[in-house]
This record gives sequence, C-alpha cells and structure tokens, in this order.
Amino acid sequence: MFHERFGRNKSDNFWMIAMYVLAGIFLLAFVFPYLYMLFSSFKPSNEVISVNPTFFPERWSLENYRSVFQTSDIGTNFANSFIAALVSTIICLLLGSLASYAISRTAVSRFSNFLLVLVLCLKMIPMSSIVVPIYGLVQQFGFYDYLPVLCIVYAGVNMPFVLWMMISFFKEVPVELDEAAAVDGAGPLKSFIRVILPVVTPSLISTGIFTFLLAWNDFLVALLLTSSDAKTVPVALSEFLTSYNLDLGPMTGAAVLFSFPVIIISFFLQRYLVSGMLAGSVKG
Amino acid sequence: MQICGSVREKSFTKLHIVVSLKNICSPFKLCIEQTLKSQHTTQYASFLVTEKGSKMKHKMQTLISVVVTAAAVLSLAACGSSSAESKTLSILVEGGGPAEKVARSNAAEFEKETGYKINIDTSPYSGLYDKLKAETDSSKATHDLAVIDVLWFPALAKGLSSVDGVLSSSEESDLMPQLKEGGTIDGKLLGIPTWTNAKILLYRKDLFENEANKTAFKEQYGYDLKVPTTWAEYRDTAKFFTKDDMYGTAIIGQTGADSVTGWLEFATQAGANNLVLGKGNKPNLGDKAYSQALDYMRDLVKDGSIPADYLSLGTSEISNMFNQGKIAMQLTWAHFYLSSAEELGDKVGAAPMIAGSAGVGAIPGPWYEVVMKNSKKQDIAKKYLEFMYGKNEGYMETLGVAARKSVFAKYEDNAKYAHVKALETTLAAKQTQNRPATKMWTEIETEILSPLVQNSLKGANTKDELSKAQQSIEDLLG
Amino acid sequence: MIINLHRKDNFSHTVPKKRRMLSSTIERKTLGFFFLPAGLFMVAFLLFPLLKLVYDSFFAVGDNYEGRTFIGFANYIKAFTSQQFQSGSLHTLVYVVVAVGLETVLGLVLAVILTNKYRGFKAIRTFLLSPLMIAPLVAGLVWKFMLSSQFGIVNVLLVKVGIIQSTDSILWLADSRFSLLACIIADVWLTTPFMMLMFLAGIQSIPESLYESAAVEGANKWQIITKIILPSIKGVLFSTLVIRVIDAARTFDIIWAMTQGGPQGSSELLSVQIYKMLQRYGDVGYASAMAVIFIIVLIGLTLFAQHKQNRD
Repeated sequence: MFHERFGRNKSDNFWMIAMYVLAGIFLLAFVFPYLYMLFSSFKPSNEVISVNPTFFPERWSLENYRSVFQTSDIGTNFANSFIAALVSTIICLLLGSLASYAISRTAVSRFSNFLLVLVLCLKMIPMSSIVVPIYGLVQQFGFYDYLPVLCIVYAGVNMPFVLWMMISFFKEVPVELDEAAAVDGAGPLKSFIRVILPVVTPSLISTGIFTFLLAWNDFLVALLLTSSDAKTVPVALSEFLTSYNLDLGPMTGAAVLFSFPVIIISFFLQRYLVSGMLAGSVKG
Repeated sequence: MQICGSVREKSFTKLHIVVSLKNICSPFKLCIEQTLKSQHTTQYASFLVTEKGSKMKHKMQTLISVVVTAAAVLSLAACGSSSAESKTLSILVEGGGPAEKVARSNAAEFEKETGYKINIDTSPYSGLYDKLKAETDSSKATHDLAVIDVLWFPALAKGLSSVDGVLSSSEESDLMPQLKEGGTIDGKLLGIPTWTNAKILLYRKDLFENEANKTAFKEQYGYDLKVPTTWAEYRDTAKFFTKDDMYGTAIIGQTGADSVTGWLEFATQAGANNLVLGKGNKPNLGDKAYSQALDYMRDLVKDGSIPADYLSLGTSEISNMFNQGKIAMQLTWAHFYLSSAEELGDKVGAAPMIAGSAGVGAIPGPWYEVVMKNSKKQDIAKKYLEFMYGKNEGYMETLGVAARKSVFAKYEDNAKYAHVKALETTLAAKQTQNRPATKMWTEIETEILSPLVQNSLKGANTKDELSKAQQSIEDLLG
Repeated sequence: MIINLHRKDNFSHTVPKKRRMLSSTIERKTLGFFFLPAGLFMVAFLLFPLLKLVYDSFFAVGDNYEGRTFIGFANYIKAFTSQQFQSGSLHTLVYVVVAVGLETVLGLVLAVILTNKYRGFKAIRTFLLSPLMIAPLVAGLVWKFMLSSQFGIVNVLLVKVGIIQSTDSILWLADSRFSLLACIIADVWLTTPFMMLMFLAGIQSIPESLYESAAVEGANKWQIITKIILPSIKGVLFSTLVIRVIDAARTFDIIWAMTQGGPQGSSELLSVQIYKMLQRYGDVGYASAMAVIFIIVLIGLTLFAQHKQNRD
C-alpha cells in the first residue's frame, strides 16, 4: 500500500510531495531544540547564554566539554545512570511480564481486576508526593547513596508502567497458545517461559526501552537518594546551575554526552521500537 | 532474535507447538543468570526441565526464593558497605558552590591533623534542603555536617546541635554584623557562619566616566552624573542610561524568593523594621514603607528603565545581561562582582546599596556550617567547625565573601576585590536586617509575597494587594 | 498489537472447568504467585507511601503542628475550599487537555506520514526520536532559555520571519497568559515522539489484506486513513492516551525547571503544589489530602474511560 514510486499517477505524486513537505517541517521543528543544544555545547561558555543568540557557534570550542570533565565526576555518574537504568529495566521486565501475563489471562476474574485497579492506583501517584517517604525508608535502613538500592527503587516505581504496557500486549497473544501448551503438559510457568515469552519478546524490548528511559532521565528520585557514590547524570547536570552563576555551557555539553548512549541504543533497537513490536510470529 | 513458536494445525482440537530452548529470549536468560547466585543454578535448570503442573508449587517457591535471595544478597552487601565509616566525617554541601571548593581544598589538612577523613557529599540547592529536612524528621543521621542557607534554620532547628562554645569569645567578636543573630534560634547558636552577603550596586564605570554622558546627563537632569546613592538619583540614572539597546537597570521579578528579597530591601530603605512579621508575630504590611517600596519599583517599570520580561529574570540572568553590556547598573549580591570583573575588566565598579528615606538598607544572605543532632560524632564535628572557621579566607578567595571581619579587612584595599568595601558599608548600615526567622517564612515568601510583588508590578492596586497579603498571612499563622 | 491473527473464532475449544480456575490455564494461586514478585517491589516503594499518604491526609501533621491530631476530613475540606487548589486543578486540566490533545494529533499525523515507505523516511523517523534522549529536566532548562526574551533564539527567529515585531512581543515566561503554554510547548516537543512510536506500531500491525481489499474497492488515501487506519488502532490509541494523560497530569520536572509555577501562579500544576506543600512548607497532612484527591480523580477518569472502551 504505502510504497508507491514517484510518477505512477498524478494523485500519488501529489500525495508523495505533500508527505515529504510535511515530514520536512516536522523534522525541522522537532530536531531544532536538540541541535540548538548540540551547537550550544560547542560555543565558548560565556556565549551559550547570550543576549544575541545565534544558532551556530561563532567560534567553535571544546571548552564546555573540558570543564565537564574537569569539574565533575561525570564518568562515574554515567556508569551509575547506566547501571541503575539497565538493572531496574531488567528486573521490571522479568517480574513485570510474569505478573502482567497472569493478569491478562484472567481478566474476567474479580481478583485479577482488583490487582489491575491496584496497579492503576500506583501508576497515578505523583512522584513529587512520595519521594520523601521513599527517602525516609531508604535512609532508615542505611542504604542512602547506594546504587543497588537505586536500581530497586526504580524497578519499583516503574513497575506499574511496565505492567500497564505489557498487559495490553499479552492480551493480543491468542489464548490458544497457552491452551495448546497445557494440552502438551506444560504448567503455566513453563508455557509462559517457553511459548509466550518468545512471542512477545519484541514488545518486551520496546517496553524495555521506555522503561530504561524513565529511569535514565529521572531526576527527583536520584536527587534525594544519591549524593556522591551513586549520583546519576541528571543530578550532576543540575549541579552545573548553582545560585552563584549562570553557566549553561558545561550543562549542555554533559546533556549532549548523556544523550549519546540512548541514541546508540535506539539506533540498534529501532526495528524493535516500531516494526519489532509486531513480529508476525504466529501464522495460523 | 527471531521468534519461532511455529504453530501447525494437526487437527481442530489439538495444536502442536515446537519451541526450542534456544529461543528463550537471551536477555531473559542473561538476567536470570545474573539474579541467581551459583547455588541456585541447579534449581533453575531443574525448573526449566521439570514437568507437569504438579511441580508447579515447587517451581513457584524456587522463583520466589530467587527473588528473595537476590534482595537479601543486595542488602547484605549494603550492610557491608556502610559499616566501615568509623573514622570519617560526612558533610553535605551545595554542588558547584564555594562551600564544596573550600571543603575539598582543606580536607587533606584536617585528615592529617585529626586522622578523620572528610567525605564530601554534594547536592543541588533544592536537594540540599530536601535531604536535610528529611534527615531532621527521621532519627538517623546520614550526614554529620552540612552548610546551609540562613533561611532554613527555623525548619531544620530541631535537627541541629547547638554550637555554643565552639568559638572563643575573641573569635566570635570577629564575626561580621547580623551573623550571630541570624544563626541563633531560641537563644542557641546553631551554626558557625561561613560567609555573609548582601546586595550592593554594581555599575558600568566606563559609562559613568564618559564625557558625553556627563554633559548630556547634566543637561537633562540639572545635576552632575555620579554613582547614585539615593532612590531619586538611581531612578534618574536608570532612565538616562536606557538607550541604544541598553537598559538602565533591572528588577528581579522571577517567581520565588529572589523577587521578595528585592522588594524588602527597598522597604528597609523606606524605613520598615521587623520585616513583614512585626511585634508579637503579627504581620505589619500596613506600614507605608512596604507600599512605598512597591511604588518605587513600579516607577522603574513605568519609566521603561528595565527589561520588559522582568517577571522571568532572577539575579543570575540579570548579572549575565550586565556582563554582556545590556544593563548599566544592577543591585545584586556582592559576589557577582568577581564574575563581572572577569568579563568586563575595569569597566565595572562597586558601590554600597542605595539609600531610601531611612538610609541604606539591605538583607544579608549568610550561610552557616551546622552539626546534625543525630550525628554520632558531635565532638569531632565541632572540631571540624572550628578548623574551618580558621580557613574562612578560602571563601573570600573562591566567592569574594567571608564571615570574619579580619578577612574583610585584609581584602578591603585589594583592587581585585573592589566590592568588599561596598559590602562592609552595606552590612554595617542601620537599616540592614535579617528576614524573620519563622518556620512559615518559605511559605509566606513563595505563596503570598512573591505573587504580591508580581501582581503589583503588573499594575494591580498595591494597597489592595498588601491588605490581601496581610490577611493571608494572618490566616496562615492562625 | 503483536500478532495479526486471523479471526479468533477459528478455534472452538472447550476447556474442562477445574477448581478455582480463573481462566482456561491459570488458577487463582498461580495468579497470586505470578503477581507476587512484581508486587513485592511495588509494595515497598509505591503502596507503602500511598497508604502513608492516605493515612496522613486525615491528620493535622507536619512542621507546624505538635504531634499528630486526627481531624477527619478537614484537610480535604480545606483543599476543596482553597482558591489555590482550585486554580491548580484548572491549570492541570488545561495542561493535560491541551498538551495531550496536541501530542495525539501530531503523533497521529506523524505516524501516518512515516507509514509511507519513501526514501529517507526511516532516517527522519530516527531523527524525530531525538527529544526522547533528553531528560525532562534538561528539556525544561533548554526551553527556558530558548523561550526567554532576553537570551532566547525562538523570539529572534520569530522576529526574523516577521511573525512578531520585537523580541519583547511575546514574553513566553514572564507573561501569565503564556507561561502555561510555554510549558505545554516543551511537553509536546518532549513526548510527541513517544506517541508517534506507539501509533506507528499500531499502524504496522494492520494486516496487508485490509489495504488490498481497499485498493480493489478503489479507496483513496484519505478514505484509507479514516476507514482503515484510525479504526484499527483504536486500542493502541486508547492505552497510549491513558498513559499520557496520567503522565501529563503528574508532570513536574518541566514546570519546575521552566517557571517554578509562576509568574503570578499561572503555571502552577497540582504536582508542583503538592511538592511545595510537602517539601518546602512541611504541611504533610494537607499535601497528602491534595495528593489523594488527585489520585482518586485520575483513577476515576481512567476507569470511566476503560468502561466506555469495553462497552464499545
């Protein structure tokens, strides 16, 4: 359907040109802020916030990147961000898929509906109202500024998102698969692991990417739970903006660096992000 | 990973499924292996090969035990990591600020003297308060020491140790004015000052010395152009310099504390005493000094002497514009002088805060080093306070402000620190006073006074706004 | 979404009823066991704080009170009668409706555009994901400076194009009429790519056969979009919308970085209010009551939406 070549007929040509124009406009609008940040990071730090803002640097300089590496422990922060996001995502996917599979298969029962509503309730909580109790809990047990705990907290707070996404994915998987596995003598766990999981892997991965991003980009939780050993990049970024100066330069540099891993990941997992969600794995 | 649960129909009632072990998605396998400690691998293997639902229960137990074990392993590791902290002091400071720099540069020396390692935790300004607040409310200390803004004392008071007696009386008499009072809550000194600060006047020396400007100013206003010292002069000068893509001055209108401080400074100059909360903790916004201050700010707005988007400008933004030649004069925290001098060289001058009908007045912005009450290392922490008080000059070097008179005296004739004299004069002024020390201050400031200032500047009736604010504060204080 | 099935009723099966079976293959106990590990994680960091919120909301508790006093629904009454809470709710509502509305429309348009398999569209799709790589906090800061009338490039460009007279014509962040809109713009930029991805996934799961039969009937592009694509992705649209509405209502980072709720309280969302009340002013009881109301309203909305969805 949507893959005609140019020049088949008039209306198709018109359609194609319109598509290109629209895509171009959107592309400009959406890439602009990112590029602005990217180019700003190559300006000398006193030109980043200028009363005569320019899109391109007038003088290219690596000053901002230098000061990022000199003034902060950005390497450690990167490692922390990455580990926290990755581990919490893995925990979320592992346990979340198990739970959402069970809920999706029992949607008619009252117990399952209760769990579903509970998950919904937990999804609604504004983070700003619970970070302090979480901090209190963590601090009481002496786990403050400790990376594994950050992983666990992220896994906990992002779990409702994962469940919500995964339940809708699992609902799409025909129940006949489970039934067939049951006929072959597999218990629920076995049929889940061997039959269902392979089918939903692509959507698992796409959910995983979003979950990863949630933890990767989080500020509030990390702000309270970490201070030096486990500090993540967003918190380190905010420290470039003190009440003593207005130096956005190093921050743009660090933010650009911070976006690279995600760009690389999403580049390689592109097909999972979109088409992969829909692997036509079951041919009836 | 290609999926291949290929389903072939053998008959209508039975489906046969071919799934090979290889196809269990590898991240899943990977993390199972990660979560499992070695003694569990055998069970894991068994739970992949066990058959029939009869063993279901056993498998579920295994799975749960795996999760629990993983959690337990994590927590054991955590306990292991938090037990080796006998000879360290942990201190929380604002990241990227002077407190961090000075703490870092002196940590090694303190360790050599006492054998105690200083562990410096940093946090952005807002996180700093949030954490200390939570630590105060709990019964467990994460940090032994912290460097805090004077505004947080009332809210944190119950979690801080008294530091009376840390400084000798001669050391105490070396403190700049208002510092001791600012750190004293209910008669107890709760922190050792690190630096004090106030707003002063920074101006473009080159513009004031320019002959053409001098002639033109005299012509227009009938007196000689000079660095303004009064409200009237300041207003005239600001109007005069607003030309050629430059504003005479700026007003801090940004949502939050900054805008309120700016207004209250003018109020002190107009004669307000016991800021906002007068005798017996009753709000005193009916005092005409407050409305005069608002009216004066509105005059500056009406003259067009300030940038149009003043409601989104804070001190940092204004300072930045000043450094880029967009503003001729600014009333700003003294420490901004150093960064301005770096950008503008000798084009920048510093003078004391301007005077209203009641004289020069400003609001100090001091910071203090405090000991957390829950800390198990009170004695050594207090020793550290005393040690750092001896290192007070470090703050002058990094930030251009300090807490000790002797440090100020040492720098007041240093040409690189032209702001020091202006700051001393401003702090010593009769009308200079602290904001009220009450737990409710942050809420009063952010929720009631900041909108009051913004609404008034935007043209609302100042009298109405003030009486509305008066009412709101009374309601709040019950 | 994942599998394009032939119609479900290909199979006619009857499964023998077992004891306490909740579905053809899962019994109650299994559901419990499967849910438990994930549940454990949520109990500590979500359920416990949630219960604490509900509990605290019935007490006068916090910095300004000695100890805790049970005051019943007083905190709730205070919230409902408070001018601030009302305006905060209104701002939140406007924010959610406008931001999510824009994101949905733009996301749909983008998804339809990028469904075309023209040369270069794959690359465009990759570039369009760039906002996803930016932390909300950073996005807020970057937009704050782009929209500033002193330092901002947006107004400079608008002047160049001739849309506005001078860089002071629209004070995005200093004018109470525009501040909320400024935050919405940042939010739209930040999350439209997410919507686009979800819709793309939905569109790609539409079986080719539908298009083929449409082509046979001589449908034009517009009819294909309205008659095939839109109805087919209803399910995805719904679940994405629910997620976005919830997340938009909980927005905090962007507002905090851009305006802190100002000027004159014009961009203060409930999440910001709750945070300030809890953290800065220490009125735990009142803040908890606000949070509980907020959560209840969101749940009500979601359940209502689901109910309607299930009925259709």
